[in-house]
Amino acid sequence: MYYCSKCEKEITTCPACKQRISDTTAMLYYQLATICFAVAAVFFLLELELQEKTSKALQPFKAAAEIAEKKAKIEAVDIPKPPKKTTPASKAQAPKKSPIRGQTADFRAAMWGTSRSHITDTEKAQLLNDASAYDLDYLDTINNLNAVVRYTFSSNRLESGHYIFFGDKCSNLEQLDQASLKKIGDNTPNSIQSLFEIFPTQRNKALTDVKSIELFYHEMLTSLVAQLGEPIEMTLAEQENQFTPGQKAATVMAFNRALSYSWDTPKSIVDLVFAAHENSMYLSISYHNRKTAK
Amino acid sequence: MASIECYHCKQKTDECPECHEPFEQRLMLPVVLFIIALLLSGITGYRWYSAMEEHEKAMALRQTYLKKNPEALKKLR
Repeated sequence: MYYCSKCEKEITTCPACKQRISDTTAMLYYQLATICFAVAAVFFLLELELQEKTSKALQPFKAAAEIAEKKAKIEAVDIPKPPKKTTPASKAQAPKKSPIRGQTADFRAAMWGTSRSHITDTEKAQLLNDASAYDLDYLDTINNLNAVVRYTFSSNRLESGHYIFFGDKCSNLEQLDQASLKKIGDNTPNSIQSLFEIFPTQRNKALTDVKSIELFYHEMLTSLVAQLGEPIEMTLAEQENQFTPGQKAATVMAFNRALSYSWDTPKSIVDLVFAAHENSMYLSISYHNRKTAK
Repeated sequence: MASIECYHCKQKTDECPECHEPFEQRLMLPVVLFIIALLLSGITGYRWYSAMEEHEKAMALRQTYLKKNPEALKKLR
C-alpha cells in the first residue's frame, strides 16, 4: 500500500493516467502467504492420515498391551494361591461353608482391584443401579432373602463389597417392655439411613418381627465367628456377652441403634453392621480390601 | 524511497500528487501474514515428518510382531 503520511491518504491511482495501481510487493507477499497456508493445510491433512494409519498398524499391540495390563493388575492385587488339598478327617473338621455363597475370591467371584467392566460382565445377579461411578448395585437372593449386593470402586477398581439385607417395618414392637430395655450400641449413622431411601423396595417381609430378626442376626454373627474367629472390634466390647441376642435385637429395633463387629483377615477387613432405621432392620456384611481399607 | 511505476502509462512517480512530498510503502500486514504462514507451514511440516517416522516405526514393529504371532493377523481380519 502506498501511503502519503503528510496528507494521510492512500495513493491508489496513477497521478499521470488516473488508472488504478496496485502494490506488487505487497501482492507478492500475500501470494506467498497463501501458498504457505496451503502447504500447511496439506501437511496437516497428511499428518492426520498418517496418525490414523499408525493407530491401525498398532492395533494388534493394543490388544496385547491391554491383556498384559490386565495381567499386571491381577498380579498387583496378589492372586491368592490355591490352598494345598488336605482331606478332612471327618465332616466335623471340615470348614464351615459361608452363608454368603460364592466366597471363593475376595468378594463373590471378584478379587480386589478387578475392573468395573469385568464385574459387569461376570456378575449374574439382577442389576439394580449402575448410575454411580463409585457403586454398582445388584439384587440377589441369599437364604431366601433379598440382598443388595453392592460393589464399591475407587479409580474404577474394586475396593469393597457389601451384602445388605433390609427388613420391613417391625410389627410387634409394642409387645416389648421397652422400659426394661437398656439402650446399647450407637445411633444408626446417617449413611445407613440414606441407604433406606436409595433402596425403598428391597425389604424382606420375613424380617418383620423381633424373633425372626434376632435369629437372622444371630445366625449371621455365629457364622462369621465360626469362619473368621472372634471379632477384633465390636461396639459393645466387653459388654458383648452381657446381653442375649434377643435383647440386642430388641434394643436395636426399638431404639433404632446400631451394633458393629469387625474382623481382620490376611486380605480383607470384614464388617458386620446390625442396625435399624424407623424400626426397619438393616444388616450388612462388608468386605474391604485390606490394602486400601481406612 | 518508494516509487510507483504505472503499468498503463509506464511513468514512474515517487511523490504524492497532492502535496508533492515523498510517500511511503506500507508492507507490515502482508509481511506479518507471510511470516505467520511460513511458521505454520514449518510447524505442520515438522509434525508430519515426526508422524511419518512414528508410522515407519509402527509398521516395522507390526511386521516383526505379526511374524512372531501370525494368529494376531487372523484376529485382525
